[in-house]
Amino acid sequence: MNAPRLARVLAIARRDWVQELRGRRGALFGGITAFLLLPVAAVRMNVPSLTDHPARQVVVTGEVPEAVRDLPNVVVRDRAQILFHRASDGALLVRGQEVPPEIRKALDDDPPAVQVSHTSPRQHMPGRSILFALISASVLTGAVSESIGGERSRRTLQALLSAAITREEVVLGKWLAWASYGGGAGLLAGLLAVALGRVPAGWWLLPLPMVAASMVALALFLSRHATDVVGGATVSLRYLPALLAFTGLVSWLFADQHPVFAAALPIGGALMAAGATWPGATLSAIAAASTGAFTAGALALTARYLEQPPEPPDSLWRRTRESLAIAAIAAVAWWAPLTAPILWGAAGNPVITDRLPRAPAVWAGAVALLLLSLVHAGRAREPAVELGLVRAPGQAWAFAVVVGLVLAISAPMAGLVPLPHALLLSDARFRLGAAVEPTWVGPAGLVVAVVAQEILFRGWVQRRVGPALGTLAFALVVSPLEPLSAFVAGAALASVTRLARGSVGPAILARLVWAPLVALAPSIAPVTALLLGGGTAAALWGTARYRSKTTER
Amino acid sequence: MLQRLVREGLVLRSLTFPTVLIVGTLMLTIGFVAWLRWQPTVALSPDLADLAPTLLSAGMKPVITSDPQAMVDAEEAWGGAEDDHIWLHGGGPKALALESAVRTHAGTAWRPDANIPHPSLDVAVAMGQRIVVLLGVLFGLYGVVFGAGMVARDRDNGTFEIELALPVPRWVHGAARVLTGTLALFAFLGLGVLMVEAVIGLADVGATLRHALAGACGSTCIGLIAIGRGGLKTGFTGPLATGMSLATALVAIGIAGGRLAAWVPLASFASGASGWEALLGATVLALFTTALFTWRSAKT
Repeated sequence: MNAPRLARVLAIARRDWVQELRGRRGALFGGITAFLLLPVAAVRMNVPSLTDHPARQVVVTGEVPEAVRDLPNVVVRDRAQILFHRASDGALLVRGQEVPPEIRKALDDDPPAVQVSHTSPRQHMPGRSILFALISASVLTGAVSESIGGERSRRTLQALLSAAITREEVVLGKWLAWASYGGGAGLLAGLLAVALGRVPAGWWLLPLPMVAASMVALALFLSRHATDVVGGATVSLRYLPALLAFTGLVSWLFADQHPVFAAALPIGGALMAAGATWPGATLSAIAAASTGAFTAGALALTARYLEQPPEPPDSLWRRTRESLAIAAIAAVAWWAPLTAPILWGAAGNPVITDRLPRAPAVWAGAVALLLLSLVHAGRAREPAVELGLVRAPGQAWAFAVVVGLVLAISAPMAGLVPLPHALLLSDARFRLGAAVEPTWVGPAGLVVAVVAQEILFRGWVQRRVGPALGTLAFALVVSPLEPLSAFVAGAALASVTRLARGSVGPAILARLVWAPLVALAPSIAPVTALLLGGGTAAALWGTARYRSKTTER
Repeated sequence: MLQRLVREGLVLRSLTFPTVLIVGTLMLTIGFVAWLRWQPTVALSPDLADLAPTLLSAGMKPVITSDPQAMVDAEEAWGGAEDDHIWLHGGGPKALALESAVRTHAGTAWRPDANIPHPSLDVAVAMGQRIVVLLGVLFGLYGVVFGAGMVARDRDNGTFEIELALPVPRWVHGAARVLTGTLALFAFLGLGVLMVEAVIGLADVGATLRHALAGACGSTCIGLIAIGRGGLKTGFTGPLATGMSLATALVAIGIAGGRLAAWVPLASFASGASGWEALLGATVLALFTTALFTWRSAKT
């Protein structure tokens, strides 16, 4: 690979600057950058100490001593944060999540009988100069996302790449344009703060511009396949703040144990060093060097993978892979809201698990599944056909009623499979099973959940990969801890959909017959049997009529 | 327009990202706490050795040492106690349990109750409200990108010129953009709100959804207003930075409080109001944005 030619790199950078910074709107960008950075650099700030807490109102109840009642921020009410009561040994017990300092002072003698000292951890806090790095990196979202996405949407990227200029030069030029803008703005703000005596000069100035420079390189890499500015901006917004916060936090947390590792963590190390978190030159130099190396790597990868590889041709393997991905997303979307509340109990607070309302969990899961299907429909040429929202033959509706009744009657057989022993798994199985019971979720929630599941699994996945794999996906997502009975039920519903020529309506009907009957099953066995008989007769009659009509035609 | 948005994988992944990030982080944190069952080391002087069984049953790991303070200072122990002195690196239920044991041993007139109540659902719900404000900020920024980006992109690739040539009233183009941004954002922000409600709880999910709808509409309008008659060729960064700063400032106004916040989309998230006022405010803003867009289109 030839070394990038400086003249061409500068030409690309100049092109980006002219594009974004010319005219009134360019001045606006400069104005916004200055508006955000100048106050941070120039204004005096009295940062409150971490130990300064203003006295907030405390609600107390029980045998509240006079000394506590007399405190200005204490209110006595029946429902309170703190309860005062007596122990069997006569001592006054204070029951609550905490005992505020002013209450301690009122209760204690002088000097206190027991002295409690809080020692702060040794971790240093970043100073105000961290804000220069954060702001200078965050104002660049638009510029960077427009850089490649905008070129692609204007169809000028191809022209650039086919000209006598290498990809490395294109990427380097674009990076230089915005890294110098962000890094320069941050550095200027830092120098201004030093000149005004707001912060002392130090080695933090070295990694300061590296934060914006690395963010630009990363944003270029992330938005390398963006087809327009919307895609570019959303992908930058998605990753950059999260990555900046995450790496910064990790670096800060590890600084005490492994200062070199903390400084060497790309982006986060430079961010913390820019905040003058650590004294001395060594860690700042390590942070600048590691983030610089990361930046170079990101730029090299961007240049290498600038163009999107062509989509592979349609095949069963590709469809299966896609369906597996859909099933995985559906599983997370369905399980997360339903089973997450169990974690509260496992973490030591079962009160929250018990008191959290259950219906919203089913609504959340169902809306997620529906959104998944709707997004798929939005991408398809014939959305209704793609989701199985087509007309079904009459015979399929009758068959659906029969299937619904059979599934309801056979529901108790699921009990033959023993429950998992672990408490968490047994809770999860119960919650996933009860999710489509009307007593749990209400009629509206039941309908939404059933419609969402059927459209996804019978309408979309089954159509894409066939009934066997579709049913397997259904069983694993909807009832992973009871997959056998779910697979049998799924197979029955798949056959209904096959008979309905891909329409999901009859399968939804079968589920809406099945679910309420399961909830009422213990008390209505005879009625169920009668319904089963009636349903079967109706199905037979419907089938016969349908066949005779088809024959006549 | 909505179809065009959902056909872009990058946009779609971005829309699901805030919910996945926030709900995922929440679940991982609770799961981590459940799995870890943190057992802090507590250094006790020999005269307090009889407290060891009590501390062990309270989930702490007692260690007998001649100099508990040194262990705490060296961060070898989370807490320490000697005679009538306690040193701690943190607070919470375990700190109260340690203090209760030491005070019982010292026979003081008062002590924290070792039977510390679990935080109630109200505490979780208050946290849920804060999480929703964070979701609102993230989606608010997306709204600005949608509003500004949809116009800049269409103006520069010629789609907008073709749209203007269609036999439909001019206001339709502005209204369609407001509606597209609002619907796309609200679908995913609404899902995020429901997920938070399911995992940690919300005081009033209906009101929060109304704030979400108003916020989705409001942020899209801010993007459309900020881009003006601009496009990619005339500089996209300045309007986008303005719109994003404005959206963030609105949320900050909401957090700062004030009666007006209830009526202003995005600011209303943290206002604790019913959400109807914010919906009204969003409707007015949408009408104004549509009118402004129509007027600007005519001038273009």
